[in-house]
Amino acid sequence: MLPLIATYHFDWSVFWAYLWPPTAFHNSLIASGFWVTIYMAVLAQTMGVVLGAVGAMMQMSHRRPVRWAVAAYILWFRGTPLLVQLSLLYFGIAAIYSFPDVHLLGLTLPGAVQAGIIGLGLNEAAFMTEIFRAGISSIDRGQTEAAKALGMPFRTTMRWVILPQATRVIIPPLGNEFNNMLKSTTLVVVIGGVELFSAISQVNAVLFKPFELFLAVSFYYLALTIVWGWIQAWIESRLGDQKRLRGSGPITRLLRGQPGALGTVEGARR
Amino acid sequence: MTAAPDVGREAGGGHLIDVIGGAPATTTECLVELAGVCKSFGPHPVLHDVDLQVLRGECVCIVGPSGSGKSTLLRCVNHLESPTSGRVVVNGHRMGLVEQGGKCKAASEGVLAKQRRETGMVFQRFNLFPHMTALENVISGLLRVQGRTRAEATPIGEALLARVGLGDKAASYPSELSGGQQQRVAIVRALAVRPTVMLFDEPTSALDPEMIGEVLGVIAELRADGMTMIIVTHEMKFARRTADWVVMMDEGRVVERARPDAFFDRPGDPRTQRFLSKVL
Ligand SMILES: Nc1ncnc2c1ncn2[C@@H]1O[C@H](COP(=O)(O)OP(=O)(O)O)[C@@H](O)[C@H]1O
Ligand SMILES: [Mg+2]
Repeated sequence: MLPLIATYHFDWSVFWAYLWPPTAFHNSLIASGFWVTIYMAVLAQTMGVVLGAVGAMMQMSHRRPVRWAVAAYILWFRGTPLLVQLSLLYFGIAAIYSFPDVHLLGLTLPGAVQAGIIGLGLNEAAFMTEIFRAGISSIDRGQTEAAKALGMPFRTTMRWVILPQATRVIIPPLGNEFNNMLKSTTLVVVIGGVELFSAISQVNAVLFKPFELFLAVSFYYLALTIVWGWIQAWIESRLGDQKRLRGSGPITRLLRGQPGALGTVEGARR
Repeated sequence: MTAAPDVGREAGGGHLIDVIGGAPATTTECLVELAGVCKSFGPHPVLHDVDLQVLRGECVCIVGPSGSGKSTLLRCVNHLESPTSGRVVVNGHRMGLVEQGGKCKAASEGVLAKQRRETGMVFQRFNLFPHMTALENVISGLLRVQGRTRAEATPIGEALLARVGLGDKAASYPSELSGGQQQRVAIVRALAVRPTVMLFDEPTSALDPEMIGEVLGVIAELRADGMTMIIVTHEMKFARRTADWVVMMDEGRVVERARPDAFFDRPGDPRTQRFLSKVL
């Protein structure tokens, strides 16, 4: 019998060419795929965080149908494969709505990438809702009571008392979600979105060097998640350090919900 | 209990209430009225048909064994708990209800938030906001409830902190303050938004003995300034010295309401007698 494992001539020159960014990015498909992966992950995560915050608020509603709607949403998006959700969104919805390419500021946002962002974002929202809920319920009930006793309505209590404290609990799992998100973007290949993995697949279709190319692209994802790990550790160390918390950097202020922070009305006015 | 140190006097003359511009008591109107208040948690009844009246400028101390429903009663006043039945009126507002076209409806959370502004509350475990400095805690109500600017609120907050002897702690976080200091911050945080009634739920029970005096000193000063107050406390000497009325609660009922001297020297109800013999 012949051995099933044949000799494979590993082509180091292809591997290095596609591992080393200056040469790899020479191929504009790879370069644009790389950036698509990053902005798709960032936008989808942002969407998940915003919708997740809304979902967690809705879960606290005293209207039962509202809570049921959120529960059903979470059940659906956590209980079905992301790959199926993306296909349903892009191909299924295509019967009534097809995502057109959008041209913005000289950049093109292809329909499949839009669908990818929306699909990943909707899925992420289900997980973020749970993370927000856990974070909020970790805050001592006395905090809500003190805010209520001062006459703060629900939204004010959330914005100025609960969320600034819950952030400490929410940030670590949020960081892990983003690590996952960076890798989940590869699934968009099924709906034809050209991100990093899809770009390298297209190169492979021409060169037929799967081992070299997929190994090289693995290191790209590894680099992305490692860099994100550093950023995450830095954010968490700032959150954990009481002394640093007193600093007035914009991120610290944002995390603490202080006025003048990025994204607050007062901050925007400055 | 040791003598209360004269906190608050160190920042110059004037009354605590002067800082926020409240008027001292002149009339004898009823500021807080509870009538037939019942409260159950599920099938478990905690308050049975409680009546209580507090006139403007009065200080009512509530005493009684643990689990008798003192906290629940206090929390019904500002509707942190809504009574199962009965009426709670604070400064003319029917708490938890709104009138619409002659009919009463359950108040929404937003309306309830407005109604709660009549009352200030101080908790056993302080419940300061740990992510804010002492000053930010004190002005949180001015900024987020009254919508005042930081420039308006900061001098008020600083003056209030100075009046309770914490002028130098404005920039400290709650974790850097002692229990007694935290509770004094909590008191002026509640005062800053100018409530008409102050509610205290065992304000010194979580404090080390040497810090009890400084907190009771602030409350006594507030009393002297004419603030209307309901205080749940286990400090019997303080109640005797400070209260206009002492109310005894047992198993969810008000069993006795008397002037302090009568209450402590000639308690009428056997349950009061038994309770006092244990704690005095
Ligand atoms: N949120 C709640 N849910 C269920 N039972 C409660 C709740 N709050 C208080 N209770 C019960 O009500 C009774 C009175 O409690 P509380 O008002 O705290 O008494 P006190 O302040 O006099 O010690 C206790 O038996 C307590 O277990
Ligand atoms: Mg209690």
